Parts: sequence; structure tokens; C-alpha cells
Amino acid sequence: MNWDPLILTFELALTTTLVLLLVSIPLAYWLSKTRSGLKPFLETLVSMPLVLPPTVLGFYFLLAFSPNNAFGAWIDEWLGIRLVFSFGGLVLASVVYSLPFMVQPIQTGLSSLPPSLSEAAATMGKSASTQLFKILLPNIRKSLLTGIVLSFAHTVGEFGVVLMIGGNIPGKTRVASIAIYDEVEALNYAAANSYSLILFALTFVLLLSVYLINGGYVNRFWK
Amino acid sequence: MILLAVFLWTGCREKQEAGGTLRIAIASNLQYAVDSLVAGFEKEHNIACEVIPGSSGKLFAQIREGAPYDLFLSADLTYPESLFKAGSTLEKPEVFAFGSLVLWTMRPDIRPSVELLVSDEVRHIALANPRIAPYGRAAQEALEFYGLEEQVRGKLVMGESVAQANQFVQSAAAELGFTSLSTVMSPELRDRGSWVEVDPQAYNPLPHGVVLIQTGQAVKPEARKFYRYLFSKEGKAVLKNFGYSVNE
Repeated sequence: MNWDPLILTFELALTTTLVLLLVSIPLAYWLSKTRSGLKPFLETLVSMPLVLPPTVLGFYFLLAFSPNNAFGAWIDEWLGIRLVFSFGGLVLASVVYSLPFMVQPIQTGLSSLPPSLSEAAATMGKSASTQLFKILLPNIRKSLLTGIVLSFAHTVGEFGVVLMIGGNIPGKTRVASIAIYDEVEALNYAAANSYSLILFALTFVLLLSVYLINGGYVNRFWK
Repeated sequence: MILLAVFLWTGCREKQEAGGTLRIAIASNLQYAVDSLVAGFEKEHNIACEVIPGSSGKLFAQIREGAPYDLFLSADLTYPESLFKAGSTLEKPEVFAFGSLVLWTMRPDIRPSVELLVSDEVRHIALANPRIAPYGRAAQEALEFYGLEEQVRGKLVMGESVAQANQFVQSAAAELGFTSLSTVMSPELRDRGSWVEVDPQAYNPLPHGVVLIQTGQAVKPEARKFYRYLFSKEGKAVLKNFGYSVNE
């Protein structure tokens, strides 16, 4: 069995999750604080990948990333990166695709903290970033874990977007979901089955660990 | 009670739908030609048709698992023959047309040619997946024929079917792509970009097979009518018009 698609899938999921973490913490923090009129629009945009068919995203990414397009041409010329048919393009697309899975748990977690927490820190002269990283985030560990695991798992399960912009290149864009589709089409059910079983088992373990940790079972066990 | 009502209602609906309409599963390269064939056929026989495009491999798997299609027009002969051997069809498949391979581009500044495949100007070459799509296999054979497969390996991007390889070319995400002559001859794409035919010596012929499938007890009589239309003078004229060669 060829392990490359599985390894690539986890590389993609890991990179996407890390980028998402960097993007989502400030975004979720801003969303939980702001009273701006922009908030509902931003929240809508963040949630849209939940509802839109992945093919819609994939189709627009294909057009946007194409060097025939202003955005694609600009990136190509200025940064020398071609996003279509590349790992970088998949990461960017996956970040958009999994954004709600990271932003929403963090935002909910932050909103559920009592305002007195940061107010107390503010009276002690702590800056906004110290408040966020030393006080608020440590208090929403469960939400962070949920966001990380769900984004990771959602990226592992990505198919439609990758199909549209990946180009099925071994080692670069042929992720496990595409490899499975390929094997089924080539009537190679045994290979499709082994990829699928591995994904099935891994996602089960991943999600189970979130439920165990967030449900307090692990803590109880350690006591 | 409610469940029962729902079952009865959906049951009735299915019966109604199955009545007159003909479900035709087709390889996606045939889309344009079949749309035109269906229009002519519907006018002549007053039989409604539903066209289900997909890659030949996927349609094959679906039919083998009992998909309710009345006819299967494949981009090769292997899939219909396997269906026949597996007993999913009672009648032998028949070749109704031969396809041709072309190199196609949307870029106004380049003239497609085999030599161009190795040029630095071309960073991506789109083709259908050779493992599952006949036109992809033909493209790979052509690359091997010209001894280019090593040099262009890093440039190849694969769609799951010709239709998806077409998307890559049409969006200009890939500078060059292998596709079917029927794609560039279709009314929608006739004047888009430029193309050149690949020397037929460079790849094995691309026979397109059709096979009748019995849904339920037997092959539908309407399906037989379409089958005959496919081999009729009118049918052949349409196919030729879309870039296929047919046995006269």
C-alpha cells in the first residue's frame, strides 16, 4: 500500500490547523469583543463554508488561483507562487473551508467568560495581549481543543475543494480522499478499503479523544 | 401511519418517473454530442430522456451495483464488455463511434503543439486520469510515443474525467491540456482558445461502446429505439458533426 496520500493528508491537516490557529484567535477575540456593525456580516462570512457546497468554494478558487486572473497573476508575479495545483493552494483553500470550525468554538468560549475576568486584569495594568494569552485563552482550553481537533478532522475529510483545484498530483495534491475516489473508480476496492479503514479509525480516535477530554472522563481517570 | 403515507407516495412517484423517461448514462466527453442526439431523438419519437454524465469507470461501478440506467455510452469498449461478462447486460456491446485526441489551450499567445509540452512556458499540462479515463490513457500513450513522459511528469495535472481536465484548461489554470476532439468541436467551446489534433499514430484508437441495460425485467423498448437512432443516418451525422469518426 502507498502511504503517501495518507501522509500528505496529515501534513495538509496539520499545516491548515496551525495557520487557522494563528488567524482564528485574533479574529475570534475581536468578534467576541466588538460592538461594530460589521460583526454580523463577518460572522456570516465565517460560517458560510459550513453551508456552501465545497464545489462552490473549489470552483471559485480554481478561477481565482488561475494565472489568467488578477489575483492569481499577482501572486504568481510578485511572490512567484502558483496556488492552483499546489500544496500551498490547498492550504489556503482548506483554511477558508475549515475556518468556522476553529473560529466558532473559540469565539463561544471567549464570550462565555465573565467580563470581570479581563476587567480585573485591566485594573492591574495588564495589556490586551497579556489578558488574552495569560488569562482568557488558558480559561477556554476545552474550546481551543475542540477547535483544533475539529479543524484538523474537517481538513482530513476534505474532498470537493481538493478535487477542483488539486489536479491529483502524487505527493503534492493527491490526498487520501482523492486516492480513495481514484481507487474506487479504478475498481481497486481493496486499496480503497484500506485507505478508508485507516481514515475511519483515525478520525474515530481523534473525535473520541475530544469527547473524553471535554467530558471530563480523562480527569476523573487520573484522580 | 405518516411513514406509510410517505412510502406510498414515494413509491407512486418512482413508478411515474420510471414510465416514459429514458435514463442514459454517458462518458462525460460525449456530453455535447449526446445533448444534440437526444434533442433529435426526442423530437422524432416523443420520448423524454435524462442524461447522466460521469466518468466511464464510475458509471460502470454504479451500473454493476444496479443503477437504474437504460443505456450506457462509454468512452471505451472495456467497461461495456466487462458489464456484459458480469451478466449485468444481456446484449453484446457495440462500437458506435471513435474519438480523437487533441491538444488544447486558452492562452492567446501560444500555438498548441507536441514540442511545446516541454517548453518552460508550459507549467501545467492537464489530462484525464489515465488509470480511469480512456482519453487520459490515450494522452499518456501519446506522451510515451513521443518519449516525453519523463520530461513532463512534474507538469501533469489530472482531472477525474475529460470534463474536469477541460475545466483546468478553460480556466487557464493549465496552459495546455489533452482533451477530446468532441470538446473543441462543441458549440459552446468551438471558438474558445486554439487546438491541434494529436497524430492518431501516437495512441491506440478510442472506440466508444454502447450497451443496453435491462432495468427490471427487460430492456425498455424506448431504449432500443435510442440504440437504433444512434446507428441511424441522422445519429451518425450528429456524431460526425461533433468530431467523432463512425463506420459508414
